[in-house]
Amino acid sequence: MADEGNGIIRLRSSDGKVFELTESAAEISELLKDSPREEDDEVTEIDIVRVASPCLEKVVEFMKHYDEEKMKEIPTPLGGSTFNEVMDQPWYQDFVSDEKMNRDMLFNMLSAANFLGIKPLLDLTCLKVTFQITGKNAEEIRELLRLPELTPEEEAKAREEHSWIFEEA
Amino acid sequence: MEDMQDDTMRLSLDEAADVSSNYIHSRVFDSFGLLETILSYVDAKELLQSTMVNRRWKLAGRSDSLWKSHIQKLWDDKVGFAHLCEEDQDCAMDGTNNNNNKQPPKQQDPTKKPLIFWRSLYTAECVQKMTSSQIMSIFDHPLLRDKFLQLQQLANDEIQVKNFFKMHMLDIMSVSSQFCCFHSDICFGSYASSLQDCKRDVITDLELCSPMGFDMYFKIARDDVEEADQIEFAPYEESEEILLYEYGGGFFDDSFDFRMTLRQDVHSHHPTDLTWQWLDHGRRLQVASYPPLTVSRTKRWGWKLENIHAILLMRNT
Repeated sequence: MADEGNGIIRLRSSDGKVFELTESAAEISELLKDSPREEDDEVTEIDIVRVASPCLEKVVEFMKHYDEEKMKEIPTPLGGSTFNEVMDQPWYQDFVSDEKMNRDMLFNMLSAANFLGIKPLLDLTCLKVTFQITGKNAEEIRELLRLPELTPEEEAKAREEHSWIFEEA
Repeated sequence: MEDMQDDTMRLSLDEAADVSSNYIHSRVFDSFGLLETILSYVDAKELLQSTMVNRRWKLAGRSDSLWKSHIQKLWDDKVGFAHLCEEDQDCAMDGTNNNNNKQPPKQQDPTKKPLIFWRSLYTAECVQKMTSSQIMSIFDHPLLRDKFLQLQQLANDEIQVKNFFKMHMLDIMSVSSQFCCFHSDICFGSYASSLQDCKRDVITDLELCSPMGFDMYFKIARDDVEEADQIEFAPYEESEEILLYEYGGGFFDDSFDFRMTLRQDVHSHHPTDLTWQWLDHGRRLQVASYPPLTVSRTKRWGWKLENIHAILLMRNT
């Protein structure tokens, strides 16, 4: 069996692409940490059937960087009113910036982070989504997240139940 | 040849991804924890909006763990407490609320014994401001009375009543929740009821007789006060021509055994044996034949009683 942290892990995406990372970088993923290792083998291959390659590539990039520079924990209540104020580490700001990551990718990352049990990545993507829904009303949130619209009856019921929300606070 | 195959495969995967992304978006929050994490980051206003997105969001967005800190923050700088006067008052969150903007607020009868709003969560700060009799009045309900017999024995010890209440707060709330709310959205309901109750413009006897007490100020025309003496007066926010002079000692000091009676004939006693009277269904108060006091609320949800001669402000407002 390989020494702790020195082994290599190969992750195979749903479309068959393989990404390599060190055992120590893979540690932050609960799923990978708990996966059985091949005895007497330095390389372990793990199939990640629920994640496609463009997303897995980013996830691996995150794990590798996290191994070098840990992400600070996100405090609640949030210590700032913009994303960059709350997340003050440039690499992580850049990693989920709008230019580098479109909304679909962000949600894929969220799913992947959840599936792989990578808490820091989950926190980061959740934080990003948080600032995307900030200042939006229920309808805009539904649109943004492409959630199914309410039927007129549901809408009316919601309004009635929540009439006090529409009053000036 | 192989390359081409690869390309076609990728294309179909991209297409598949496109089709499935809508699905992913709507399903991503199905797994427990993601939505909860996001909602733990947002403030109360965003949280309110998110409870209206859909059923999943509504359930997640009403959880006590999210609202506990919001309700505490809401009450942090407030005085007084939230309650309703009548038990049959609409429960804000149970879907039967018809107290919307178009209708005038229901007139409350101040002669009826105020029933503390079941949906309210009493934060530690809020309980601290109540007397044991006020806390006891919360238990004065058939459903709660039997369950908390123990409390009756403590009734005379204010500190013990408060401790008991704090310790059993969630029990109490869950008993009351049996008839009007789900246990998991008590804090949310409390937030809602607090926001509604802060607009109530009718003072209750519980508030009037609150041990917080009122500070009384006389209104004095600025012209009648020597310039050198003006430093002893407080400014009057509605007019520069008038200064306020604080009446020493406070009116409803603890040393007075001041109790309002709850009978239909609505009489009660002033510390100095003058008769109080409710006017306009609790919107105004009159002491003997002095000009009636108009009742209004302060910014911090306290109460202000005012006539042409005097202002009474609930302490710390």
